[in-house]
Formats: sequence, C-alpha cells, structure tokens
Amino acid sequence: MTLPRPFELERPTTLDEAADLLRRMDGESALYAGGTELLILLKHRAIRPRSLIDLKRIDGLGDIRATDERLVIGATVTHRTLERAPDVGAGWPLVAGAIRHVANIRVRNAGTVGGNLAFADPHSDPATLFMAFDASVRLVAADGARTLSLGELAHAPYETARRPDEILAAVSLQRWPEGAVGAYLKFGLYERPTATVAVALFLDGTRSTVRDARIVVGSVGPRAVRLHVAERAVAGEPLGRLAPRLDEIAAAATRDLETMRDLHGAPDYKRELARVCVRRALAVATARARGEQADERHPHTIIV
Amino acid sequence: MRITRDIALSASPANVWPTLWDVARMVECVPGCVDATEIEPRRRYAARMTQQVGPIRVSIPLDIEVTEEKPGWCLVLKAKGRDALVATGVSVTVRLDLGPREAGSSLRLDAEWRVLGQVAALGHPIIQRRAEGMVDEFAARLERALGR
Repeated sequence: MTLPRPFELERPTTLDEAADLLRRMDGESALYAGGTELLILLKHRAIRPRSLIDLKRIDGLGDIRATDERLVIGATVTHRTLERAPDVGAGWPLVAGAIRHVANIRVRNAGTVGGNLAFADPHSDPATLFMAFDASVRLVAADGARTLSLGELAHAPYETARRPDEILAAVSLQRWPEGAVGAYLKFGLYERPTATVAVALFLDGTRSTVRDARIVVGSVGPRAVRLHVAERAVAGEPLGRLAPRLDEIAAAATRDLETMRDLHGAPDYKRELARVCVRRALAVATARARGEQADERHPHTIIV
Repeated sequence: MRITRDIALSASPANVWPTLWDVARMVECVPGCVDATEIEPRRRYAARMTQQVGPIRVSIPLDIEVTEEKPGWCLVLKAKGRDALVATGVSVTVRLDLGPREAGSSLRLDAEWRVLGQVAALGHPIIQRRAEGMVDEFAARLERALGR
C-alpha cells in the first residue's frame, strides 16, 4: 500500500453545491462519505480522482427521520449512529439490531449507510436487510433527482445504476404493517458475511395466516435479491401449515438462485448455504409470528 | 480465464470478413475501445481500452498482433498492455472462426486472457462476468454495424 495520489478536497455544505461540483468535474472526482472503502482504493492507487467531494458537511445528509410510514436515513449517517438512534431502536428494532453486526466497531463508527449502498459490495448487510423493507434510494444530480428501488440500484458486484453525476442522498425504508414479524440472519466465518437472509412476514387480522411476505437473500451472489418463489409459497399459508413445509419452500426458492464463486466458497456451496439459511430464518420468523421463542442457535450464525 | 461464444450474424461471411479488418468499425464494436491505429497492415495494431470494473477504472494501451490468418474464415490475434497508474496488466488471445449458417453467418469467438494487478484483486467471477458482458455487447454491436 502506498500514499494516495494528490487530490483536491472539496467540502460543499449543500447538496446542490455538491451536485454542481460533481457535474463540473465530469467523472474526475469521487464522493467521500465514511471513506472506509474509498481510502483503501486511494491508498492502493486503484482509483485516481482529481478531487474528493466530502459529503459530511452537507445539511440533511446526516439526518435520520422516522415517521409512521417510513424511516429515511441520510447518506452520511454512520452505521453506529443508526444503531444507536433512539427512534430506530424503538420503532425499527430489526434495523438497529442487524446494523449492530455490520463489520466491526471501527467500520461502524466511520462507515456510512449511503457509502455502503453506493459501493455495492455483494456482501453488504444493509442491502439485504433494507430490501425486506422495500427500500428505495434518492439520487440527486445537478439536473434533477430520481428514486430507485434497491433492487434497481445494484446490478452487479460493485456496480450500480447511479450515474457518475449523481449523489446517493438518502435511503428510505417502508414501515411494515401492524403485526408484521421479521428476522435477519447472517452466516459467516469472516467479517464480511458469507450469507445473509432477511425475512418479513405480514400476518392477517387473526394473526394465524401469512398474508404476504418478503424474503431476501444476499452475499451469495452478485447482489441481494428477493426470493419471489418463496414469497409466493408462504403467502396465504396458515402458520400451522407453514412449519412442516419450510424445508421444501427453502429448497424451491434457492434451486435457481444465481450464486457466485468468491473467497467464501463455490457456487454450489453458496446455494446450499442459502437454502439452509433461508429455512432457518423462516423458522425464526414463523416462531415469532406464533408468539414463540425461536429455538435456532447455530455456529457462526447471528440471528436478529 | 476463457470465454467461448457462437455469435449468429445475419450478414454473410463474405460481408463479415472485411468488417473484422475495418479498424474504425471494430473500434465501434468493441466496448471500451478507443484510439485504434494500424501499425502494419494485417499484422500489428495499437489500441486503447478503457473499462470501469467495479470502482476501478483502467485505461490500457494495447499492442495487438495478428498471429494467424486463414483468409475468409479464421483470425487469431494476441493483445497485451498495462495501465501503469492502476498497476493492472492484461494479455489476451482471441480466435475468431467464421462460417456460413442457414441465414447469414456464425462467428465463433474463443478468448483466453489473464488479468494481473489491482483489477485482478476484485476476483475472477467479477472479471469473468464483466468480460462475458463485453462479448455479448460486441456481438450486438457487430450485428448492428453489419446491418448499416
């Protein structure tokens, strides 16, 4: 590792100013939020921007806004801030609980939610978790803004639909309906998880049948994805009939899952791991839906 | 790393073959290729490839040598280069076999390449995925170029 090449540091205080700088630099600048990934790339000289645009002084980007319908997280909110925000802990406990297990304390203290999503590491915890909340991101450029779902944002490892002149300003999570239950499971031998699964079960008025579901798997393939096959299999099922079918549902949902070889393992191993993790996460969520304590404890596995 | 693709083209082999030697049209067809020049006709060329792989952008000057030509149906070329600023090198051997098919022609592309340095650190699956995307894009652009 060497020193980064020299660069100018721009410190805008408004989003408009930052977007204008980004446009004028025409691809020759990089956005700087937490810097946990950016500084490594700079020190390796893997990227060579003429300037860094520091987003941390921009009004509003460090805000967390929890309403009855949504949780809006500004791009420069750190994982640690999100984890410790009282509104998030009280109203969005799965988010606070899962974010507490991102990487390590140093990364959580510096790394930002926006940076994490914009970097599009396939092993991102927030990407998997937030898709269970039907999250969307707001992208702002000098010539306007647009909103993309998380599924539309990341299309390949480290590659997103964000244009070079756009700033990821915020991510917005949709509150689950009253009575919904969820679970987040991550398996990993290293700091970056090998498999991540987020489950949300929306129950009907009697709390005995699953009305709808969101099931997301990440870290095993190029990006986090919704398992629509499993969601359809779960929707409309009485809780009592669901428990004995979890093996079958998880197997069907992951049979054609796109997995990718990396340092964590081969594609077949990842698919099998995804199957097991989906079953376990569903078991936890269905137990919670029945008002029971989930009896799922496994090595190298964190369940929130 | 290796990619093999059978590309179906609607133009006849007699129309495809000269296009493969047309530097300006190949620059249009190869994703990320800019500044190609002929150094020695049908033997040596120079080009610059730019690619964004994940967060890393590379700009690699390539020396391209045609190592084999069977006029009208086979072409083998080797290319190599290095982006010193990003400490990334690439070498590639491409074999193109052209043949007729019912409506048009079939172009078999067989590419074997090595990537070394910073970009290689992203891992084989990510680079392979990008390379496969480039070959698909090349096929689509070539079909469009032949249709003009």
